[in-house]
Amino acid sequence: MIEVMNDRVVMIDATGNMDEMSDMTVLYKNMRTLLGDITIDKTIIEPTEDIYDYIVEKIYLTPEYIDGASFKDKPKEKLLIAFNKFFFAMIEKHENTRRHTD
Amino acid sequence: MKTLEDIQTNYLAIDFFLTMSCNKDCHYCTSYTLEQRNLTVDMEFLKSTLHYLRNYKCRINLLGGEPGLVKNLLEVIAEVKSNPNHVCEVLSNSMVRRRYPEVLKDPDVVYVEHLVLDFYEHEITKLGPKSYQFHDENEFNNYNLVIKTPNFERYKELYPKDMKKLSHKNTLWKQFNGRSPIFHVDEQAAEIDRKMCAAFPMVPVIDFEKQHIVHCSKKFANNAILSKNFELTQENVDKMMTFNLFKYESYCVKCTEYVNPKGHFPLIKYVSLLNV
Repeated sequence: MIEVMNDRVVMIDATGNMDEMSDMTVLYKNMRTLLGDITIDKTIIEPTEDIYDYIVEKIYLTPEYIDGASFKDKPKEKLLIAFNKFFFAMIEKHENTRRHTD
Repeated sequence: MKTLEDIQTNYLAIDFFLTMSCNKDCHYCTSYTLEQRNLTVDMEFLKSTLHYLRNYKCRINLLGGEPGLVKNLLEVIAEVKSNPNHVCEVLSNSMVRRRYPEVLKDPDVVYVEHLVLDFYEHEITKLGPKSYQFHDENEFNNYNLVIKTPNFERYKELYPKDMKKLSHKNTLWKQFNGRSPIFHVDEQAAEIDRKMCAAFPMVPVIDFEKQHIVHCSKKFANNAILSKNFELTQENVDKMMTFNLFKYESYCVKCTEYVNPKGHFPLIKYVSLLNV
């Protein structure tokens, strides 16, 4: 199970051990800087222009890319969707890797 | 007068390849023919293209070929300038300086001169007359464009004083790129940077000869794989300007062109474009 606890993205295993996904924590914090409040919710995912997915991925790969940018409401909504898309894709990837290495 | 910084941050650039004809044959250029053809721009086509782009902040780069060969260039410039959303830029090998010197005196036209053909160990070969000097620092929006061809570093080391003449705000430096048949690189830009470039390249093209939109100016001609192109319609222009037309194509997957690792466009530029 993956949860955001105290601004940290952590993975909790069956015995309750917590392991922080530090790269996702950095992305989460950066996206919060960019968007304000963040909802993590799979149900908000819907198709958006690829450019929003690319911006999220670029911020994940190069955190300093955000550089004080400030988006208006509409692009913010689309970035939030793109962030959720990326977030759940990363979790799935992480869990698949864990399943194969456990 | 708009500053170059403002234009680079807030405007998307589109190349208008007015004619493929050129009076020079630079070894790194593929977008030309020495045959003199299509030297008069079809004003109806120009007007309809600008009409499709009317609501978007665009930097319209007039080039080719060599725009200085275009017989009605001043009329074309006036038409581009007539929309306050559009900034007119002219890229010339100095033919414009010779034939239309008034363009250089207009600070509302960004004039970019590609005067250096090549760096050799002991000289710089120029595309224009030898007497033509590089542009000094100025407030007329006149710029030197210098491609760092293979001997650039060596020349710079041997002639630091000469290079100093080019070291000011009115010189734009450009990486030597994959257009040259002798250029080869194994390294690619990161996939994410190539994807962002694909969504809206540094400069997509309006080809005035074929009268359509071309996705990538680097895959324009004389390449084994050519860029995808699109019919020039209002719908396609709207899609292009809102990042919905161009996709990550097979030639993007293999592309070895330089893309700024700090980001194809800085995020502040996407903010400016997506906040509209």
